[in-house]
Amino acid sequence: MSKDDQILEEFTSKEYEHGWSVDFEADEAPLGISEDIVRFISSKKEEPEWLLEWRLKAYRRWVEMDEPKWANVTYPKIDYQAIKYYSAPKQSKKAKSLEEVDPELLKTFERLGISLQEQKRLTGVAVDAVIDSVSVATTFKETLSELGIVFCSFSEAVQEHPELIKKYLGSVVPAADNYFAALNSAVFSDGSFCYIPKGVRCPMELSTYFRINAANTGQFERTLIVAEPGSYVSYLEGCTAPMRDENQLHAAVVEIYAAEKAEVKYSTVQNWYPGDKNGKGGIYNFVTKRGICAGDHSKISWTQVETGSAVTWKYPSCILKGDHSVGEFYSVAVTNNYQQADTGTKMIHIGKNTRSRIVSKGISAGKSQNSYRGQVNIMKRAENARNFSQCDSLLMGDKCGAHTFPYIDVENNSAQVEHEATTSKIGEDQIFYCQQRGIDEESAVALIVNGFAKEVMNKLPMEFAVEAQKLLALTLEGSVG
Amino acid sequence: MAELTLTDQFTTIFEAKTGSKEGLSDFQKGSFEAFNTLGLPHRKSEAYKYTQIARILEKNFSEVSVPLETSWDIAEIKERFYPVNEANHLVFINGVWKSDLSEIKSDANHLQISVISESELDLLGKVSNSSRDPFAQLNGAQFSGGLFFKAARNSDNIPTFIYHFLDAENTSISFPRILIDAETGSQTRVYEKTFVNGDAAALVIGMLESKVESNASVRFTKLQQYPKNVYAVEGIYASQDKDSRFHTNTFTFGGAVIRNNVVIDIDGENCEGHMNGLYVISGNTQVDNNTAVDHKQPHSFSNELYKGVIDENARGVFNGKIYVRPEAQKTNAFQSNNNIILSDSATVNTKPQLEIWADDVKCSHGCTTGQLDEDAIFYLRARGISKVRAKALMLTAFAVETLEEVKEELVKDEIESIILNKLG
Repeated sequence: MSKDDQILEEFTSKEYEHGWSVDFEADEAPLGISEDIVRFISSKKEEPEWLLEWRLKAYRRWVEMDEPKWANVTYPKIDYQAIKYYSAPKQSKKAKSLEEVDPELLKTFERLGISLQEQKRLTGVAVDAVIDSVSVATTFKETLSELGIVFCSFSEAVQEHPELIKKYLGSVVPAADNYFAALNSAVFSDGSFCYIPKGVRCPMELSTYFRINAANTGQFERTLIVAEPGSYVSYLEGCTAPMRDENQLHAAVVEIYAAEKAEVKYSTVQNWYPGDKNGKGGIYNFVTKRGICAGDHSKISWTQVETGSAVTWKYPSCILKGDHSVGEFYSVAVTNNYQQADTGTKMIHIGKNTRSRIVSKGISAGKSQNSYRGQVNIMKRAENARNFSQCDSLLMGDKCGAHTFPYIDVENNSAQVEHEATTSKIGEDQIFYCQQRGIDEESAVALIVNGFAKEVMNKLPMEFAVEAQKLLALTLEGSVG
Repeated sequence: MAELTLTDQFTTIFEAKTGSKEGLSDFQKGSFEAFNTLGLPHRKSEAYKYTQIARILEKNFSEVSVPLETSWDIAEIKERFYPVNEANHLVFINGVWKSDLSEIKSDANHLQISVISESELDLLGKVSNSSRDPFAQLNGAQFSGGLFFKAARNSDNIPTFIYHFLDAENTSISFPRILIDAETGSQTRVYEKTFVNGDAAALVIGMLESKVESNASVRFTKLQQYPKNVYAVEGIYASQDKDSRFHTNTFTFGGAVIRNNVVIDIDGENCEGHMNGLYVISGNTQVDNNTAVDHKQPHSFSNELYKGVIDENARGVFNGKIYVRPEAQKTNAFQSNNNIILSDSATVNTKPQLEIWADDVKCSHGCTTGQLDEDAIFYLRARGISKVRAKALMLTAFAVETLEEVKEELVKDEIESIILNKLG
């Protein structure tokens, strides 16, 4: 066995570090989905009548829809009746401070490396932690509320800011937008809500730490971010999940609304359980993420580092409606073993002088399949729209695949659209060059991969960049020679 | 009586042939069955996403038949030939090859030119994989008087010009079919162009298949200078053996709705596959170039360059696919699509697609859509060249790059003058 094979062997035999689960007393709904379950979830959350109606409408549409088949992924058919749609960690009463939170829960976060206390004391990051389906603790609320910023769990927002939820919920991703968004709309359990008032620059990175627990629990978060004119927010989302054999479905929806001159930066590090080295288990990640630059001069920027999940199906998009608005998409997607990723973006240019930039870096190793699927659409009235897309793929090993499906639709003659894609492997001469300078093979590979992904990594906020780099190194350690 | 759907009409045409003296081969029966199974591409078909072909055809061809008589006379036909003596001039009338009107100069030992007969039927439809293309199947079912080329081993052949003459006094349809078998080491050059009489809607469902054996070379150039009543769905399918070369050049300058399906299978090592195309369109023309290169064997090279200049209400569609199979290591595959939009209501849809399963490859694609570089035009104007001239100069320069692979000077000159005429 050559050194490369050895390293590969070592790496592939590495088990998922965050693979464990903690037993909570979960307050669970029975298996399956029906109108009654939708009502059950809604009543559990003590929701107003209009929201229940909204959910039911979504459910009725969902029943009529077919699961999409166009993505370049294969997975066994999902039995939607074998999923538990609601599961909440039981707590005797609502926690008012961290001290009152279930110590078991706090331990969970510590094992994940984000103790809430520590977060609170040291990092200055406000964390809205989601375990299973209910937000457990929200920190830094007071600091934020002084500025008028609302950052809370979705269910709390429904109780306390119904007028905002009513106005913006489904305004970017309609209830029946697509199969998984409709499912989410019907049964979403919780999520985060963020509202930045006019002219406010959010002083800290807002972060949600997702975590899936309890076997067979589909997790259906709903995130809504509203940025009023002239405001700015940087939002972080990251996740890790415990090891499970059965596939877990995750169908989240993220909506971003950016008014005039507002800027929203949304960063994701996704490291859900990808299944074991034989492709068994792992999370199905079917996410709908969309932002609308509704006002002039607004900006939405998506940055994602995708290393986990067995199947990923995710297209963070921007609707550039306001004149001079800007959409950005930076992505690193890494797949290994039997992982499959079909990810990309949509940039819909409606307003004049709108600009968008897409940088997508795909790295595939093992027996994985990695696809970029993107659409750039320049509508008729989008004068002087500008788009640049670049999607590069790096292949490691001869059993993986890299695919590119860009759609470019231009209906305006003043538009300039460019698309570039390359596929390659790490060159022997590149490695040789590094080795000549005393860098060993493994470090050389790490160096080259990091360089390959750097353009995207640079876009991540500091807090995330460290974690992301670690993940990248961990996922690809010794995958090639 | 309810109106007949297009598929019903195809059935009528097909059944009429059953009773004719030619009869029908098993191949044609099989193709018709395959067509019926596949059906016309439906509304959500990904391959026809931007060209709703079934709807377009249903709308324009409520009653259609293959013209039985022609208004073209012999003198008129011969006048259209390129003035090249050392060449074969082959005439198709309404999709049927007419040997009596054709001039064949080649030695039959070098280049056999004949009607596709029983013995070649075995090859037909199997040269490369067109089994999922409903129009290829439809052509297979309906064609008659197809043309068969066989370039003998190591023969270096004189050029062959193919002229299609269509009658469009009434709504018509034609199914031209060409099969090229290029044996080891042979060289073949084929040029194709079309003339149309009449203003009624004319539908061409064409099909060319080429088997390129080891070390053989086939160059195929198609000039689609259609008037605005022509609808066409034309397939070019090639399969390449080791060390072979295959070039296609497609030049589209008009028509109503033109769909070109170009598919190259690289089935041997060290092959070269080239696909070039140019579409300079205006009015309501819609051109849809759908290409695919399937790299099945290692050490091959494919290159693709499609350029478009789109004016008025025209729409240009490009969908290029590159597949690199796990076995096809050391593949180099390149693809490029550039478009210039000249008017507010012109549209470009492009979808360059890479699907790669091998790691030691160099593949890239790029596409651009934009307009002329203002700085370059300013530069030319600063040197006393009028704006109109400057634009024409830039557009012509943009377009002629695709001409490089056309080796026959006469054809090259002709295309160049069309470009100048359209853009100058």
